[in-house]
Amino acid sequence: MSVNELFKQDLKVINMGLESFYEELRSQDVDTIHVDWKPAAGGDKKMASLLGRLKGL
Amino acid sequence: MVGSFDRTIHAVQMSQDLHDLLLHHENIVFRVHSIFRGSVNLLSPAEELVTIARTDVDMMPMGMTVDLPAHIAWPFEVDDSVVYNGQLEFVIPKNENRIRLRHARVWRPILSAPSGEIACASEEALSMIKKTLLELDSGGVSSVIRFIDGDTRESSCTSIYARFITGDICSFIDAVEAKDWERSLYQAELLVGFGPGLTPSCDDFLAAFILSLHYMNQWNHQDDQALLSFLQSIVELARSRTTIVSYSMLRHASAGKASDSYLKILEALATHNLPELRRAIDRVLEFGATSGADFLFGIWCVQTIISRWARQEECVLQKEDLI
Amino acid sequence: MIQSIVRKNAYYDSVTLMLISREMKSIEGVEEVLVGMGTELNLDLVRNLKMFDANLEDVTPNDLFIAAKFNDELVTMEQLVNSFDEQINRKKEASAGDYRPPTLRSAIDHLGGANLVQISIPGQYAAEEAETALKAGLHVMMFSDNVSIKDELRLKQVAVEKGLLMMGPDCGTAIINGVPLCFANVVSKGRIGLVGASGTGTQEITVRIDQLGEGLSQVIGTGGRDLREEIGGLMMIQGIEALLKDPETDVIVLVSKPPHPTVEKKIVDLVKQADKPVVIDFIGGDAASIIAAGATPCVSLEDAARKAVALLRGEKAEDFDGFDAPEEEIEKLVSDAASTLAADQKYLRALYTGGTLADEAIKYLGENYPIYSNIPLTPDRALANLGGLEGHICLDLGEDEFTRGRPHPMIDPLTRTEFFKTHVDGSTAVVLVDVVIGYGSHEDPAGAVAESVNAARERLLAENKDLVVVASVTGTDKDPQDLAQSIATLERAGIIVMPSNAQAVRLVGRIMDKIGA
Repeated sequence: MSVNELFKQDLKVINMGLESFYEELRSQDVDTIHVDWKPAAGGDKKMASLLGRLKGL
Repeated sequence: MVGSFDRTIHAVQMSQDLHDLLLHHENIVFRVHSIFRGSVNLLSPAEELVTIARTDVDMMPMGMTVDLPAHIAWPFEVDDSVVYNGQLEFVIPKNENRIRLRHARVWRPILSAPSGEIACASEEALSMIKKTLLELDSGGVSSVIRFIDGDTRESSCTSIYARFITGDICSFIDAVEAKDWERSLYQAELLVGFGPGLTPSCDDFLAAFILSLHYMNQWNHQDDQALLSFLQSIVELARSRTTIVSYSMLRHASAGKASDSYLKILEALATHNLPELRRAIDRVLEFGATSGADFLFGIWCVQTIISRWARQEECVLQKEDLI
Repeated sequence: MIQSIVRKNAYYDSVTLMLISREMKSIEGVEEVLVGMGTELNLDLVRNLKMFDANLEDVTPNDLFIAAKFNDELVTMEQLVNSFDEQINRKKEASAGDYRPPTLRSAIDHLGGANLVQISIPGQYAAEEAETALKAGLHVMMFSDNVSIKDELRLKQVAVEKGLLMMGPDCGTAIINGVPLCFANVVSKGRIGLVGASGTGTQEITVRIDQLGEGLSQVIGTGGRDLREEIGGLMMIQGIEALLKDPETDVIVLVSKPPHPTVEKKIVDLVKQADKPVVIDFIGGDAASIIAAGATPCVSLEDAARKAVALLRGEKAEDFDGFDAPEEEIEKLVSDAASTLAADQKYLRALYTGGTLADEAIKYLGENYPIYSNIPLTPDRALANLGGLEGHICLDLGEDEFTRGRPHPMIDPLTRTEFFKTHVDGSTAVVLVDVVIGYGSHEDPAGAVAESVNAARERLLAENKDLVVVASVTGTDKDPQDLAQSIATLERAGIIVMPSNAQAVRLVGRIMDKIGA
């Protein structure tokens, strides 16, 4: 969706991070959802991509 | 609301041992072993237990977390088959639901040696754990700590299981402290599989011993074969004497593997990080409830023993200096 | 009566079993109940309690057993088992209304038709999430900072390729389709579009446009590093192109710190082709190339707003470097202020929460006075070189060095409250502050300033001294904190409130001239 198409739509926002930003959008009746984001516990991105690579995906 | 589910589930994190298992297989047919609100256990033909959990549940060895929303039920039932297809997907043949793994981060179910000096648990840390346990009223065996703390009234142990096992737990602790591994193993046999729950209380208690002693040995480069074979023997006992879930937990513990919140306790103790320990204790109790309290009780016992050993060694060294 | 039942391969977690056995024990007629897995030792306990019966002979560790000792005149085993099943099946109701998905991917699935992702998670994780969003075709507003410039470039390249907005990293302000994002004010809808690389600079221009009776079509943020050589103005260019195509936009405003020359050239070249009037405030930058491109340069943020409004109305855009109030009134304000000060009160304390507003103050006042700052005009004016309080100080309290481990001073006034205590003393003549309201900001920043000013005045009373305090409020009457109310709060505390930051700064300059600071 191009920027100019966005200008014609109702804004629908996914919020990740500060909850106050989500609350403020909600208070303005903006269609929004808050992601319950947590840093991965000791996540190591490299390993996951290794798995992907070995399987040729 | 328990809704239905008709789309692909994505794995968020997976443990490295599960990652490695899948890496070496093109096809594994699992059977759904047990289902809980927060997690599901699958059993492989080789009796390997794999846990799939929602993201609000602790990461476990041989486990993964998936983004299945809390209000949507698991898309399978006990005894259904779930197939790993070698294409980074688990497929549920019954309804063609899929769990995609390719975006999952890999989590290590073991601790690396902390940088800097590795010391045993400090007194403040141990007393933080003790205080927490004294205030709890769990249904497992952790209330035995009141007895050990000097409250010898029978009512001090709040559960019937705890009352029954107090003597055996105390004998086990004495044997371990004396490093009498033969007697320790005999006493362990009187604990494995005892207590309420899918992982009976005493198994959580023993997991704390196995994990702590495993890392003590590893981090201090002791290579104490007698100790290691004692730990291995407990696992062997567990194979027939407790539930398969509990057996898996003990087997993982003997390789230094445990759930994220259990590992965080050990890490906080080894690095003397009291605020982190506080958080880790709360997490263990939140995730594990009864099991968590029993594990913490085990940690308190075994870490107290380890620090006593360290003090004795210091005394011996000082005497040698004098001579 | 002693009786037991066995459930083959039944699994329940420890907590559930514990709660249920407690419940069952409280049923009238029940003496003892054990619920557990059929391990050898658990069966030992059953035997020990003399509750073993034949049903338990073949139980294995993977089976669940319920063993009970009860008075069969009061209760039956069947009732106990029913009570067990009933509690096991009692399902917790989870409401889907406030459902918070754990990942971006599931949020996209859940909120059908999402078109923008607002990211404020820690920087080291932010780039990856933004990339996921862009690849899913979503526009991104990223408040997070501490994202590497390499990641920023990559993200913006992906965005340009897909025709999406990648606002940020470190982008604090945008208003898309009338919705204020992160730190932004509630302004009227109108025909002026803005692309801004500086958050409070953008806020200041939009509120002045609103006060002048016009409104904004779209306000696009780019993040502070967009006009650096490494990024090449990718998002500002993307934003200008979108506003040029937007039928709702008649005048375009650009605001940024002076761009890198190669980037400035790209932007100026694009502006040359523009069929809409363009107003450019490259704060303190060179006006010549702007004029050469047929665009309108500015002397302040307020000036940018006034010129945009003038051009929209088909009027001539003239430099504004004066005051709204008549000269006599300003002169009276200045001499009244000067007369309240003692001879040894000489120094300026400008305590800003908004970076661009602080920048504007330093650039104006720095022409005539040595201003020490954490964002100095020249390195010799770095705050560290002052070493005490004997000099003019202007601070951007939103910089990393002051915000480490605490929220930005626009969210939490604490940092400025502390600086009032440590940096305002008997040698201080004038205190200059900004009060930024709107979404994202603290619920009552004016109240916090008033409190600090009252406390400082009370301290100085011991020396028989007073203070001159000048403020401006960046906000509108539609903001949740309300412009009029904020002004009233400040004025009640004896603070001079000017209609814009530029006018506040100029007034302070006049007062400093008057007292021979």
